[in-house]
Amino acid sequence: MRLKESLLSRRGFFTGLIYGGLASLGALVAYPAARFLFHKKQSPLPEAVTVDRAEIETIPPNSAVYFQYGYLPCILLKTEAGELRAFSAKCTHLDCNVQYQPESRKFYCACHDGYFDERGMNIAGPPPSPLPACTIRRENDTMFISFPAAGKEKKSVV
Amino acid sequence: MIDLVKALDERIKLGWMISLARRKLVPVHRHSVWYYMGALLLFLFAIQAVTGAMLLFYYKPAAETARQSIAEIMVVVPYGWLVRSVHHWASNLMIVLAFVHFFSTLLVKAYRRPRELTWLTGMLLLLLVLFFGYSGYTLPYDERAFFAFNVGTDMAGAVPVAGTYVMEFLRGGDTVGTDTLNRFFAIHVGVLPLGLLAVIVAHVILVQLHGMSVPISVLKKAEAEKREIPGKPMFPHFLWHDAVNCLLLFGGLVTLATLIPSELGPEIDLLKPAPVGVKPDWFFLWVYQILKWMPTYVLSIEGEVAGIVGLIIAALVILFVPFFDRRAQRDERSPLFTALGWLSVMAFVVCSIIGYFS
Repeated sequence: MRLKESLLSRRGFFTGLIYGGLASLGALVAYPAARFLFHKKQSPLPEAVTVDRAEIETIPPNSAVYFQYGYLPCILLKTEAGELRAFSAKCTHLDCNVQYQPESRKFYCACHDGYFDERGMNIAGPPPSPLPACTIRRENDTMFISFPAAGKEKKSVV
Repeated sequence: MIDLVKALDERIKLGWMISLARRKLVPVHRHSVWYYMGALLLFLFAIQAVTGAMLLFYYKPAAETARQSIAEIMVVVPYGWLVRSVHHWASNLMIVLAFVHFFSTLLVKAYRRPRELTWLTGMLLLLLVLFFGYSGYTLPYDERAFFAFNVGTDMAGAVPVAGTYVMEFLRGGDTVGTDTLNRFFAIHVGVLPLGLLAVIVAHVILVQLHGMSVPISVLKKAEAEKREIPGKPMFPHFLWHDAVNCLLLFGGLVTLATLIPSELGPEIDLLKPAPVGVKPDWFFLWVYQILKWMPTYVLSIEGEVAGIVGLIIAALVILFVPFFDRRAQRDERSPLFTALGWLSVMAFVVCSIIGYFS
């Protein structure tokens, strides 16, 4: 049945009401479900990690050791000249951990044959960007290793 | 829309299924209301499967982490309180409706020939649902769960012959601990869902094969009046009723979950005495009360053992009632079994109420 002035029939109106109601109900169920499932645990990175000088002296030149920076695996390199450099150990391609190859003085990622030089620059293979570098500050006998962005913003530094 | 229906019809014979559902008539009489329980139970099972899978995203089943992970679900994860409370209340409603379904089919004697297997699978479903409820409330591993673990597995140990093995199997060791929790977790999320699903499929297929059972009184009355029992097509009429019922149930469920969210008890302290007034969940209160009434010894048998054996015998009688109730099998009135049916309803309700207030 449709009134002369009406745009839709009574049946059309009620059908719309039912479908609209069901759609609203669906949205009311889907919203909390999605919020529940997409909850992300916040795990901020520390502002810095500290290493004792004595520990650093045990590292031979032209070699690297791994260390933990919050949830992030990192790698500390002592160059042939004794200079210290620290990077995120996660390859910028697909997040595998890189390893240092003393003979070629490169960081190598075994997952897809990616290479980074001693300064963390991506030089061969698929990695699209350099390894994120840490800054190293020395205070007396303690080294403070930190990512410039860590502890300040919520966004991940790598 | 029409194209989609046509395409589906070509591929999965949708039209054939719909015409089958249209041809299937659901008898309409004064006891028809009990036909709605099955669909509601299926709906609740679906809700449990979905909310249960969601809770698995955050629940950590080990003695050290279980309670803490549930606390996090309740206060940290967005809408975690809602998901857990819906799971909690849906389980309670499922047990209520399973009992209503069970007692109503018992009283209208829907177990008559040729529906004995439907009855047996239904009884198995009731048992599985109860075990679901029990295993579920041990998973928070709080104080209440700890005593439920102890009492429940200990009771299993009182069953003659196999008891000790069952108890050790359930505990996964000499005492209740993280191994027990892991076993109950495996049972709750792995064994029971698969088992329940398989038996549900069998039960529903059997119901479709035989159609709805009509109570003897309705048959007799129609016979006396020489008329057919009227029927309504399953599709769309009954499915439409089912859909509305499910919607109402869903509304009630979410309201309960919002107004009375499920709780989390204190942490387990192995050296603390059982809290005064500790009781099982409501669906085991009748068992609790009956066991409480048992004297220390019955004819030189330990009271607890005698009580459990008695309950098992009563359950077996109900389980095999289609084979005892010969008159009903011939579609004749069987007042003795009607009386026994009402007696079991009364025993369940009265013992539960006394158990609650004792």
